[in-house]
Parts: sequence; structure tokens; C-alpha cells
Amino acid sequence: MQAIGMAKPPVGVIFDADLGNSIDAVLALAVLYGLDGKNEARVVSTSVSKHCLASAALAEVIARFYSGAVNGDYASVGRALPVGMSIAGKSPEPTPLLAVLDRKNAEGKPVYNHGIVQLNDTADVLAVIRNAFTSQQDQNCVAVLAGPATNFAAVLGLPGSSALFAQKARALVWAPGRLGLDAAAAQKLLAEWPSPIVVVSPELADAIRFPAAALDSQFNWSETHPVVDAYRAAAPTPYDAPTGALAAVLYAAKPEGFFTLSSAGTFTLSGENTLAFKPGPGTHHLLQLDPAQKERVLETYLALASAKPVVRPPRRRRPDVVKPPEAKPPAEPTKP
Amino acid sequence: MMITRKALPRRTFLRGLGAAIAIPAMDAMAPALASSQLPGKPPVRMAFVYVPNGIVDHKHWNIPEGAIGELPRILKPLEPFKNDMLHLGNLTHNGGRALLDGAGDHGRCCGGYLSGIHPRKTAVDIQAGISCDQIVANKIGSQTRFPSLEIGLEDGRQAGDCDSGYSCAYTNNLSWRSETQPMPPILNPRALFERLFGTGQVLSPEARARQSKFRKSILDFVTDDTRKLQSDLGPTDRRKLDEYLSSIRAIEKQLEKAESDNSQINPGMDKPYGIPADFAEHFKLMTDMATVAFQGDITRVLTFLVTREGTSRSYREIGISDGHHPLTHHMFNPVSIEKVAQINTYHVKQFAGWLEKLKASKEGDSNVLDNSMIVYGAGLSDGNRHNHEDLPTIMFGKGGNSFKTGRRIIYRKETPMSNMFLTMMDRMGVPVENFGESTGRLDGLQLS
Repeated sequence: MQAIGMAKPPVGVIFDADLGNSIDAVLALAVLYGLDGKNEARVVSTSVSKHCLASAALAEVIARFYSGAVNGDYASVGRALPVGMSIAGKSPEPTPLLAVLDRKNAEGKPVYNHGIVQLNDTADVLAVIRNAFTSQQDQNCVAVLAGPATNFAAVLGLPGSSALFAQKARALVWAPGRLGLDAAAAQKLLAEWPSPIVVVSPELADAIRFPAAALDSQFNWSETHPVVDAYRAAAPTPYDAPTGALAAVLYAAKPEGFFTLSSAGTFTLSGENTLAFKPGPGTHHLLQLDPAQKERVLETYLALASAKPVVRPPRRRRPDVVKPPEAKPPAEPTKP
Repeated sequence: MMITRKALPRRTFLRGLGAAIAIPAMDAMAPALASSQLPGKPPVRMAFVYVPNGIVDHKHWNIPEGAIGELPRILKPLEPFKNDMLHLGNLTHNGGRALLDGAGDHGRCCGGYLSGIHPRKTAVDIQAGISCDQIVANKIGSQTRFPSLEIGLEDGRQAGDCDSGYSCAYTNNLSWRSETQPMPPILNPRALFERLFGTGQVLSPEARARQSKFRKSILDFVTDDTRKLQSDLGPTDRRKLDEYLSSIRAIEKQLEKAESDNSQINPGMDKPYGIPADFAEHFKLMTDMATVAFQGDITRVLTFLVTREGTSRSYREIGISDGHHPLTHHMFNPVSIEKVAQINTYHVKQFAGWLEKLKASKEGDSNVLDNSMIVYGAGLSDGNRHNHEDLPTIMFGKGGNSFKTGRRIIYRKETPMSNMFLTMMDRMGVPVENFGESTGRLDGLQLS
């Protein structure tokens, strides 16, 4: 909730990804929570387009970790957001990355607790995304999408949603991937999304690689770290992961100073399920590498993703002022 | 075989001077050899019973998913109706949340409860949304004497600021005919009685006293019609008619007693004429009439705002002199929590009394409750936290052999309440594509 009459809060980020299908979305969430902890962005909602409980569970595990409630009372930390999950049936299979949830401690208990064990532990993804927008000040949030467009395209089908997104969102920043999982959704999103769309270029994603070596040097303040474990579970290490989704998050929070933006144009979905950009009239842009900022971008990724949890008290409700019924005026004294 | 007798029309009235009493569904209304699945089957009704200030401590309300076992404390009075209920979890009203409008959860949660919208924060130029009951009433209301009925138990202003800048129109009305036109509930049992069975005119105490000298009962005015009808009925229908008219007479007697009691009460009390001082008696009177309204197909749509949202009413009748609303902000004081639990249970107990009546009202091989969807719920989840997710919601009745009851269903988090309204509107024969915050329909309620 944002309060009226106060300075605009940091930009709200509405984050959606096919979490579990690639490590860059996991790293992107880590960067996002790092920004949130520094009050440079607010995590407004998280949702997954992967129809898989483990995907939603991983989103919650990461949220818990960065709020300092790995094993504690998650509901008491003040940012226990329900995780929206698509039930559209896209990529339902578990992945090696999601095996991070199976890690046990010496007593044989799960290292990472979460509350998502059945479908109704997740949230109606359309409601989660739409509701997240309704609670934001105008032009003070950004939708960040990593992977297929299943959820954002679906939510466009709700009445009034397009006008709502136009009113509330500065932009949709998209690190596309695995578009073939839902090509129709990608086409719908490109055709109907009402705010500017910024797409992370493949060159940018590949040019800055997340160094596996940093896991040992910068994340070692915690014996258990879900992002580190996910990184190692995703593929045999060492490997340096591409960073498209991280760029999307960083640009959403800090649009100036890290990247360059192409002139306007339009994206279309090619037959190979990749996005093709054509400069010209339109509201789409390509997010590109600024070679001069390459080192700084990587340092920023590392600093944010490896940030320590920031524990916040629960958000307090403002006291209400319910007025009692008006007292009736005293009866006129009867005349003798 | 020749069938010569015509079926009794579904909308038959006993008429007399200033009186028009609709009669309940009779066997004689069904064409000969017709089964309850054919035309002539009982209508489906829809009602919303709204209690204010949320429910304290959900451990006294929530139950495990699946078949309903033992009921928790607040719901104990509903034990006889376990197999008639669908206890629904995780339904949410996002429009009740602040959404940048600051304090005022009571105004928002009630003002938008049945429309799934976010009411405008104002004490002057109110704007909410048409409520689902009124959408249904607009569509099927012509089939009954009244398209809808709106009742309540607590007097309240219709203007001014009742909650942190929200108009009293939001906290004191449940049903909205349009974005700007609330449907104030009828609070006075006598007014409701006159509306249901009379000319709709509410008499002054003096006029009523004069009238009571000359007649004993509204039934006296329809004696001729009653006799004529009885001669056409079989023994089962005759007994049913007798029971029905007796229930109306019982309501009259309750009314007369309430009016008589009120005349003994300190005139300084803010009680309009005819409103019983006792909450339980008032609740019973209003719901007895609601039963008759459903039995007689006088209406199929009812909203019941038990008390105003945010009310600070005390419940001295159960030994609680503190206001309801202040108690809900209990600061985790166990004494306050206990008192709110008692109030919540007291409400449920009165409601159970109504369900008993509905269930006892036979309709062919079913009963009025079976052929209804009665939602008991609150616009706030926990009155202390003022949250708008997992709203306390229980639906009673099978909606006319449509729903598989006796279960707790926990939906996905953030599932809009509006999805339930869509499902109910479908069952009322008024399907609409979208409503309020809907993202779809509620699944899992149906029989198969």
C-alpha cells in the first residue's frame, strides 16, 4: 500500500518468470530483493508462468530468504506476498534447478522451508498481477517478465486491465526466453500491451556473464543460500550464466546510467520463436549494452544479489476512525 | 387416462382489503404427473447475510479441507447444517483494500462487498457499483412480487462520514441498484410485514392502535380466499397452507408483542416503533418474514445487513457492554478476544435459527434451504487486522440440487469473491461474462 500525501515510493516491480527453467530468473529475483532491501525498488508481486508447484515454492523460498525468514514465521515479516502461479499447463516438468528445494540438513529436514505444497497454497495468477497494479501510484511501477508471456498475456484478457496497466506502468521490461512454450501469448503481449515494451537484447544477456566464482567469494556469508544452491543445481559448475533477466530488473529500477535504449520500433515474433526488432513508429525498444558500463553493471549485479536480508517489521495498518451514530439533540422541554 | 384438473398457478395470492398474501409452492402447482425436475419445480433463491467487523481469530472459524467434521467454536450452532454448507476459503476482495486511499477499510469492504469494486472515498458524491443481487433482481425480478428485499437490524444514517472519509452510505447498505443508488435495508419488522403482506403503507403508532381495535390479524382479510383455496387442495397442501398461514400469524403476534414491549421502554431510547429491543427477537422476526418471502415466492433475492459495518453496538443481552468495533481492535487482550468470539457466535446462533426454518419449509421432495444459496459472510477477514483476503464465507443450500455441500473448499489465494458471485448468478439463471473483480468462476462446487 502506498499512502496518499507522501513522497512517491521507489518504483514497484511486478515480477513474472518461468522460474526454474533458467538460472538467470533466479539471479534476477535475487537482484530485485537486493534493490528492495536498499529501498531502490519494491517487490509488489511475484508470479510464475511455469505450471509447477516447485517453481512457485522456489519464488517463496527466495522471498523468505531475503526477508530474513528462512525458517521463521514468514507471515510476520511484512512482505509475505502470495505467489501467483499459472495453471495453463506450460512447462510443468520439474527441472534440475528446482532440486534445490530438496536439500536437507544434517537432521534430514529441508533446508529451505516454504508453504507451497498444494495448488491452493499458490495464488490465482491473474488476480495477483491485476491486484498488484491496482495498488500502485500512476506511472510508478514496472512489469518485469523473464521467459514466456503466458501470465501477462492472460491478464490482458481481464476487463479494464489494459487501461489499468497504461495508467500504472511505466513500461514492461522483458528478458525473452523459451517463447516457443507459448508463442500465442508472446504475440498477444506484443500486440496489446499498452505501455512501452523494453526487450533485453540477446547480446546484452550474453555480454555480461554472472561469474560462478562469485558464489564462493561474495555469497559465503551464509552457509545456506537458495540462489547459490539453485545455481549449482541448475547445471554442472563452474559456468557463467547469462544475465538477461538481471538486466531487466536493474533497468526497471534504474533506467538511467547502466544501459542504452534503442530508438522506438516494433518487435514481432519470428517463425523461430525469437523476437525481431524493426525500428520505426512504435513503443517498443531494445535494451542494449553500454560497453563503458559493463564492469559497473556486473559489480552492481553481484552487490545486489549477494546482499544480506533486510528484516522489516510487518506493515502497520493505519487506525480507522469509525464514527459513532450522531447523538440526537435533546428533546425540547415540554411547556407546562 | 384423462387429466382434467388445471395446475394451481405458481403465483397465487390470497387477497383481501389491503392484503395480498402469496402462497408457498404446493403440490397442486405442479402439473399432474410432473416430477420436480419439470416445470413447476421450486425456484432458486439467493441471499447474502453480512456480519460486520470481520471474525475474530480464524481458529474459531476455519476447518480442514474436505468433508466437514467437527465445527469450531463460532460455528458450533451450525452443527445441524454441516451437510448443507460449503465452507469456502481464500476468497478475496481486493477492492476493499486501501489501493492508495488510506484508512477506511470498513467503508470500502461493505460498500463494495456485493459489487467487487473499490468505492470512491468520499462522504458526498458516492460511487460504488451495482451489486450482484440487483443484477439478478433486474433480470428475474418481474417473476416475483418484489424483485429483491433488503433488510437489516441496525439503524444508520445514509449520509455523512462514517469511516475515515467514507460516506455512511457505504457502511450502512449492502445492496446497490446503481453506482450511486444504495438500497437502504428495511429495519422495522412492521414495515417489512406491511410490505410483504399489505399495501406497503406504514401506519403511525396511533393509526395502528386504532386499527388493532378492529381487527386481529391480516389473515382475517383473506378468509374468503383462504376458504376457496382450501377447498381445492388435497390434504397435504391443506396442511402446508395451514402451517404457512400459522407462521404469518406467529409473526404478527411477535410484532404485536414487540410493539407492546417497546411502549414500555424508556422513550429516550433510539428505537423506531415496532423494532424489538432484543436483538435475537429482532433477528428472528426479520428472518421469519424472509422465510415466508421465500416460501411464498414473494422474492428470490435477499440481502441482510445484520448490523452496520464498523458498528459499535454493544450486546448487553449476552453480557457484553463494550462496543463491537472497539472490541475487535483487541490488542491481543484475551478478554476482548473472548468477547468478540461471543458476539460472532451469537450472530451465528441467530442465523442457525433461520436456517432451521428454511430447512423445515418443505418444497416437494426438497426444502427451501435446498433450493437456495444463502451466503453468510463478512467483508473483513480479521476485524483486528482489517485484511481483505480469506474472507469468512459460508454458503448454505444446494442452489436447487446443483451444489455438493458438506465440504470445506479452499480456493487459491487471492481468488476474487466476484468469482463466487458469477457462479451464483449462473445458478439464478442470470449468467454474465464478467463481474467486479472476477477472473473466472468458482470450480468444485457442482455436484459433478
